[in-house]
Amino acid sequence: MRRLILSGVLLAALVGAAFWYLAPDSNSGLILYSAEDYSTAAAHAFAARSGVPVTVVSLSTGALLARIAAEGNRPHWNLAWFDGAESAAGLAAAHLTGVVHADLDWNRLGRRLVPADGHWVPTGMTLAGVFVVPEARYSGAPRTWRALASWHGRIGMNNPAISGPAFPILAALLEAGGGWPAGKSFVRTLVHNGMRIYAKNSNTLAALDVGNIDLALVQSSAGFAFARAHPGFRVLVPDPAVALPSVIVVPHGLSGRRRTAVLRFVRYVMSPGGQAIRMGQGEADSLYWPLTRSVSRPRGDDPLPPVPAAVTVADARNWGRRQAVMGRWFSALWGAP
Amino acid sequence: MHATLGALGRAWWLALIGLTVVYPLGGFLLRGRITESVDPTAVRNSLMIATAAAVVALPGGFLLAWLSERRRWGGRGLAEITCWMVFLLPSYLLTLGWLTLVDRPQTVHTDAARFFFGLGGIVALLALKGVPFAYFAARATLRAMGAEWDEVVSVFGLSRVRAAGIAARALLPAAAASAVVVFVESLQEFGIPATLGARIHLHVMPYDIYARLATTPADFSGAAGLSMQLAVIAVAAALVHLWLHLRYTTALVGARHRGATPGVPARWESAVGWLCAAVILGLGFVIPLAGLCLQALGPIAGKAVPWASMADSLLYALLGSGLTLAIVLAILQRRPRSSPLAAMGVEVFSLASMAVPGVVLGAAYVFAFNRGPIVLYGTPLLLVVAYASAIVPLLIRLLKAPLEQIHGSLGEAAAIHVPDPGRRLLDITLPLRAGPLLWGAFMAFATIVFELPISELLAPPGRTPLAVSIVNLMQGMNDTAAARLGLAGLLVVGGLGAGLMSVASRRFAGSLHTGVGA
Repeated sequence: MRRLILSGVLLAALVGAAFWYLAPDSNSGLILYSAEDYSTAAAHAFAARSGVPVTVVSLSTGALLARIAAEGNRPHWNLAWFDGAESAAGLAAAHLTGVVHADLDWNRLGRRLVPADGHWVPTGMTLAGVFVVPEARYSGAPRTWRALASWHGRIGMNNPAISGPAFPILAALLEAGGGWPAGKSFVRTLVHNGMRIYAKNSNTLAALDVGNIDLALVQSSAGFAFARAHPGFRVLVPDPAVALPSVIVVPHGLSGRRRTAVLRFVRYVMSPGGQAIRMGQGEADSLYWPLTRSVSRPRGDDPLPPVPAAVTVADARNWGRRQAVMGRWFSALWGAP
Repeated sequence: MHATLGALGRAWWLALIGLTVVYPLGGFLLRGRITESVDPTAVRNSLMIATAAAVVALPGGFLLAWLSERRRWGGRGLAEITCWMVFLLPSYLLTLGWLTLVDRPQTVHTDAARFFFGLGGIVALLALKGVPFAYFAARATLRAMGAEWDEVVSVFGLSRVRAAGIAARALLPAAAASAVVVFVESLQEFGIPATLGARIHLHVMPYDIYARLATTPADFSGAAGLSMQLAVIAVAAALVHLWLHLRYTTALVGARHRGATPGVPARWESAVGWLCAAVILGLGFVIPLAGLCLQALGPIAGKAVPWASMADSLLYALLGSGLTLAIVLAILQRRPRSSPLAAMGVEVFSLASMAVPGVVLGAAYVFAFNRGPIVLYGTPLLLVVAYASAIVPLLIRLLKAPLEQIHGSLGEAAAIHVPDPGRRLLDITLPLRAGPLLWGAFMAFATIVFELPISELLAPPGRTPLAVSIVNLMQGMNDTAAARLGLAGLLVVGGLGAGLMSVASRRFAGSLHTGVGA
């Protein structure tokens, strides 16, 4: 019996030690849910500067949003950072996020992307969709969203049920076709013409790389990152260019010391120093256009072109409200024989 | 009063199941819209690919199990290694490895690539992932069959045809046990159809579940309702299996049970077995591993590989596999063995739970343990408990037969001769069960290390599990770093498994045999 008790005590001690090691640090810092690849570098820099530790939970956009929704009104996060104002609008409509006004030196584009009710802070702008094509097909490639329907080439895009940033592409396609529900026939035409739906960016772009498709319809950050690594491909910004901002949201009811720390974090990641880290130490997500006057893209061989002349800012609330019904419609269309 | 307390004490395992499965999952699924409209095409496609995967996986897995258990076959070691290796490789790495090789300019326009990026590829990969399940399930059941059927054929001098008929009838429950596990595992798989089905627009039921969860805010009621429908299909499969088991079962569980004496396999049987094991090992492990190695050799962009997540996952897996075993032992040792109702309960519970996608189980845990009487969300304990509850149903199915073969009279004899319960547990009870327990523990360990959807929803801040890191890298188009991390995980888990089995086989010499259900 003594051996059993000893074994039990030893086992309990080991298990206890393992849980102690794995337990989250109960410090007074911030917990950031993030789908941006530069967030860890930015959080470390902020912590070093401010003394406020930030624990980053890196997740795909879909998992991040599902986690926030499941936590509901008992959030375990203090900030969330992801691409897509539509998703932020969806969270706001469900009363899962609070107001966060950041008084920043917004540029013209930034002012257009700041929501009137302050439910999210835009932190950079990418485009919902760009056309990535092989060099050989560049001259004949479509220049507008509408031209996709009459183009004789194979088109591929991400699956909105898996890839978070694919929903704004679907919204942009529907908008190009006349909005909802008028745009359904335009998307239906593309699907019936053989549009392929891949799981995520890497699959869509790999299909383009090997010639399975002739045009990849992806978020601009992914498209420009791909073209940077694959000189045989070019990126076309369609007309109209549709904005897809990265946004920071905060949970509903955040107050006191944490709210102050969150605002400091937001100001830091939007400062010239914070943005230098975001543009320099991230991967594809670093390829965004800044939204503040004091920051510009790095000079030299920047893969990003200047900001497109005409950028459309979609009504995030309008499209966010329709996500569920559009998602269902698209899954039925996609699976139709 | 004493009787009531005693009954409660004996039923503590029911409380455990109640707390870890019924409370979170039941509560979540019941809030779901069971009438959620489901696309008939998706149901038809899901049933079709799950059935096809089971049909393709069954012959290979079953043949290897039969040769390993009922024949003195030299390829038993290879079969064992094959199934473990294929089991170890998670579906997202299996797919990435194959994609790296097929999605190349030299191969992508071939017929093989066209097959791969279509129904054929989807069913083939699902079937490959199903082979280990078919093998493990069949071996457990075949071992439980005993020698009686072989003896019937010998004693009565039956013709070959008649003997084959008897054998087929005798093997039916084992085959059904294998098929039903592969069917349910394939039914809830989403990654493989979503990745390979781009050209053919294959709409499957899990697609709709993920689509509900991908909206903002996520439609949990809709996802729960659709998960219930998946579970209903799994229950129907469980009932078919149960009927076959009750109608045709040949296992004699009791003191009269004698293990079968394996015969010498015919030369062609042996050759087919070797070929089958080699093909499965090649397609299910070696080739995708080569693809991963190729991918890992590429240039690495930006961020460093997050190696720390490996240590975290190994620790999670160590704790999770221990808890899994404790729950499985509690259920299998405490339930009344002879009760058909209990058998049906275990069957239905295990298969219905297996059909629920991990993402739904994860969401159910957030709902249950972030509010209400027990608040554990955000702690490593909840993640470990969720891992365990996800794996318990499968391990119950696989460990049931081998653990039940240990007759109760051995325990009674031990109780008479060794009065010290501590010594009895450490020197008799556990060593007697060492084989199945170690085997089950390693299976749980390996599954947890590479588990994804539950990890994404429940991982505590600052301790990112391995699978989440791998998928984050893949999302960031950094497949090289993802391949390196995945390969390192496979190497560590494989090495730990080999070391564990080697130490255990020396420590428990005489009571541990290699293979399932030892």
